[in-house]
Amino acid sequence: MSGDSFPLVFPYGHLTPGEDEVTALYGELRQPLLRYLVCLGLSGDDAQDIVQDAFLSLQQHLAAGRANRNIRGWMFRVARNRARNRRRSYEWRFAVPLDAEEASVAHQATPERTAIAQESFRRLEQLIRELSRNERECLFLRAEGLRYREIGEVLGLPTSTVADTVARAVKKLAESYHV
Amino acid sequence: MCEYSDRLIAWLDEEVPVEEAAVVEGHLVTCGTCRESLIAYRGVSVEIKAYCQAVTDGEVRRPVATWAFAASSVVAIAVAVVIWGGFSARARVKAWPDPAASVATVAIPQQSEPKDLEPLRPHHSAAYGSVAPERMGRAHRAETATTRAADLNWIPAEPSVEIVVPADTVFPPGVVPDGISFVADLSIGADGSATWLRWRR
Repeated sequence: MSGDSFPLVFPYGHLTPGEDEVTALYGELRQPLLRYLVCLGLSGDDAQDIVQDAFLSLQQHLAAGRANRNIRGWMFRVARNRARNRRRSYEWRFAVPLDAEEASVAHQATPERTAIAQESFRRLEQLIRELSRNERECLFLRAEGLRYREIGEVLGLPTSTVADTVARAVKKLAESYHV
Repeated sequence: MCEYSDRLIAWLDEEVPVEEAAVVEGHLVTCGTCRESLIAYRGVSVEIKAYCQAVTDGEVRRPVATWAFAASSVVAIAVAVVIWGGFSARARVKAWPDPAASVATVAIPQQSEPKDLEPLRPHHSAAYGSVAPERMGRAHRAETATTRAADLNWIPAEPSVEIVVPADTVFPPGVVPDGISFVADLSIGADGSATWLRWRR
């Protein structure tokens, strides 16, 4: 049999509880989590690492029989906490001068990047940079479709505060971006 | 400024109660200023999404080895991925000698470790067992020494990774006789994803 190959098949009895749910959530949440983490300032590699870590945590969480209410908010909170543990990269995007960053982000010649006008992109990034951390994070989480209640759970803020923060941030951007 | 302006964004996000939504919608019919504001808020919201997508597209160019996650979810196997020149690594899999042990271990021979890489990236491991994820690197290094000492006959000829899997996490008890081990050839592509895995005896 040496040298023969055979499919990697395992007995069903060894499946981890909740793995179907985890697999489905992986397909649904992987991209939103990646976008959120990259927007926070993490590199693509770090973001992918954290997303995989977060899903392994989810698998253990479900296997342990813990509550699975609001998994989406839970996943973003886990990812955010892990991102904050990587302080070297967390908020890197908003900590360095824009000119230095432009060379690494805004000026990368990719089809996606060229789809957005460079000037418009740079201007929006500058405006986002001027927001407070809470305002930025609320906007990024909102952009991924999280409800105010879920954003509050991720950031540890009351829902009413999230509503006020989102409104304030969007108004700031709208007033400056469209003048 | 219009008294409804503060509620427009919450309305846009469908975060206001139904009764209040009806009031806001009625107001929008008559208030041109709020309609203009709403267009601006909606435009900014779209731009932020486009910004996030563009930044992510620029940063994340490589697909994650999704099969690895799916496989790990199913079998709780440890899979360690070592990027070494973007080419193949050699893996060795054998039954865990102690059935009571529940932690899969991964051993990476010293000579195969590039200096600028961590010896193990625990996030690629599928089963953390009872060890906290943040401590897996240290735990695995300790296991590496143990495994290496117990298996002196195997000397890898090329960059390699050794994966030791508890037999009872893969096969029902008694299916695999004592003394039977498996070797897995794991090929890793330039982007770090596994391209194929072949088991042989």
